[in-house]
Amino acid sequence: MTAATQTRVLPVAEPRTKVPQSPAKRRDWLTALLFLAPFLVVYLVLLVYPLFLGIWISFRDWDLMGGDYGWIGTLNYQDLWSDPVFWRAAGNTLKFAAMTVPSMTLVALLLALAVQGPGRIRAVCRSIFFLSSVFSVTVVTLVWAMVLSPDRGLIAPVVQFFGGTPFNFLGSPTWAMPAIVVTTLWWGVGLPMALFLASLGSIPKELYEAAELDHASRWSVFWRITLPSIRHTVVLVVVLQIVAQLQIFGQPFLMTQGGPANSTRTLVQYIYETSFRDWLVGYGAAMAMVLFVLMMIFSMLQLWLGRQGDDQ
Amino acid sequence: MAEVALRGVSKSYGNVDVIHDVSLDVGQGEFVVFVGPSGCGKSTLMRMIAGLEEVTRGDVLIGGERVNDTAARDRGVAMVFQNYALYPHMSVRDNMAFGLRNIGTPRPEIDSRIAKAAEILQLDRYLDRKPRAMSGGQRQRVAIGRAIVREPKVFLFDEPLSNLDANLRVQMRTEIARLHHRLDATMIYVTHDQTEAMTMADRIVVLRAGVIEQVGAPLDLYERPANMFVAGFLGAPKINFIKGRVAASQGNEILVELAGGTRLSALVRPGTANPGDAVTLGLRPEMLQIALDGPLPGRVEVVEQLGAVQLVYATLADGTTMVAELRDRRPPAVGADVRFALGPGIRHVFDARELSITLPEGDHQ
Repeated sequence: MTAATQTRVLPVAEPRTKVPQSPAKRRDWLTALLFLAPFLVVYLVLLVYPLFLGIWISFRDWDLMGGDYGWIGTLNYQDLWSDPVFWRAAGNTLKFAAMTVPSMTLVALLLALAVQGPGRIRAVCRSIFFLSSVFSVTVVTLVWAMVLSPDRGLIAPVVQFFGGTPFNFLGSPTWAMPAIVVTTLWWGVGLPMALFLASLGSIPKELYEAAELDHASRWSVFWRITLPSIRHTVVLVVVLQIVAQLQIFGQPFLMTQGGPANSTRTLVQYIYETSFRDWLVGYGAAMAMVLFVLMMIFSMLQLWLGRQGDDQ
Repeated sequence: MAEVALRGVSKSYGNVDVIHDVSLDVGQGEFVVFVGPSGCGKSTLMRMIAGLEEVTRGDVLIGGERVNDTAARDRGVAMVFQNYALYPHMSVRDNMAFGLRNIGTPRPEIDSRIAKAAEILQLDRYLDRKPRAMSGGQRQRVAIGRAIVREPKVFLFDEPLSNLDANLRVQMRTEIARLHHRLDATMIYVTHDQTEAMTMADRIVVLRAGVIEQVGAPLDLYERPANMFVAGFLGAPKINFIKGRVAASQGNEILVELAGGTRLSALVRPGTANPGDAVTLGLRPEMLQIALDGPLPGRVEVVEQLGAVQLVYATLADGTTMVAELRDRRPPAVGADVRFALGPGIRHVFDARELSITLPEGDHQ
């Protein structure tokens, strides 16, 4: 074999990611890197670095004022294992997510189905249902604390009208969490609804016309046409909701401060209190890692489930 | 199988009228093609028959029954959509079975109908595939199969071939025509392609701006167009229109003087043209020949060699572009001055309102 044929063969065998050797290609590569640089810098500084810093801190005895008392190995994680408040908070967080994610997805889908399509009334309803999303958590919790209040709330007079005794939802270990779930639904339903609306709008209307000619009932149309068509959006909404709801903090912190009797204390609140009230940043970082892994597992699971059936 | 009738059907969206007072009878087992340019209302008309659009005025009858207030599903029609509208998450088999299951057809019956349709359409091997794993032509066949298994009274096709490439379109055209003969079903077919209309239809309905311009068998419309629109819409290459003036008339025969002084004779219905009237001659490309003593002088602009025929585009004295379809392997060169003669064929004459005043063929002496 001559040298000439060898050089013709070589470029094919080269890996694609290797830095190009010719000056022109290298210039292209540098240009590409230059355009990517702003993103990469932000990504590295604000995401990758803190993540690894967090992991590193979680293995140290570290306090808020910067006092680093050294490497303690997995001691923080061992402490977690025997911390009843942590387990309670983790349980509360999972319970909250388990209540919120399915109901949020369902309510958002039902609302989207109800307000999709032409007509002025529907357009107004779309705006109204989305409107609550723009309020800050402070406003939302204030409004709902007032709505749920046993003496001057919206629900109390109704209960009284039917001869009942007004009930203090936020003061009940059983009902405080559901009350926070309802508040969260009211606040957060706008975005998933908008996602569902976009997805519903992209289903070709001929499919519905064909289904009409095929004698499909409304139920059958929903199960066989609408739902399969928006399956990816359902997965997206569920993943976004899991990630968001496992980080629940503002609503219980402002409405119940984690009470009554720790019944609404969530992981993020416990992380916040441990790190910034008790100054135990190392311990807080260890908890944050657990939450991170938890969110990742659920998201991956959902994405994996969502992909099932795609390749048939 | 059933006949379809439209009685004074109109359709308005708000103040905009899109269909004006259309009346039409489609016989049992007939293949009728609605043809017209984009936006002429042909699809809307079909969708009103299907029940997917409401009828503003007038009546739609299927099998003699008024169906204006009958839901689309209960009209006994099956429709093949332009973009196929296959259920993407169902296999081919389920796509075809869906409608039958919904009306509670017994399982063995469903299976036998699907097997029969699959055999007719050569889909046997693809029954368990999803639509996305199929080519455009296969998808179109599935869409047709979905209509066949329903055994509808009327088949409706809404531009079913316009998403296919040219070869496949020709192939599917013959398949649908064959299917019609085999099923002997009433079929209404919408297209903007005059070739599809000419080749497939028992009768063609030419629509323009929501109005029926003419209804008739393909050859009838080709040979006896009611007006310039129909004459221009059917036939490829397009008919040549040449403006002129009646120079003399005697009985059925008139002499039309064209720009440049050329005089051509034509036959018209008695009393429809007087000397001095502006008329338009319509000459089909295939009746034009090149001859040394031809009456129509022109200059060759473009020659298209199609193998069997040659299309010669030439400019006449008044600037009109004319096309002649020749069967001469040695067409004139571009830029050559030639003379066109008129071979056998109908010389169409249209009056100032663009309506045909040509003497019908049977009335020629």
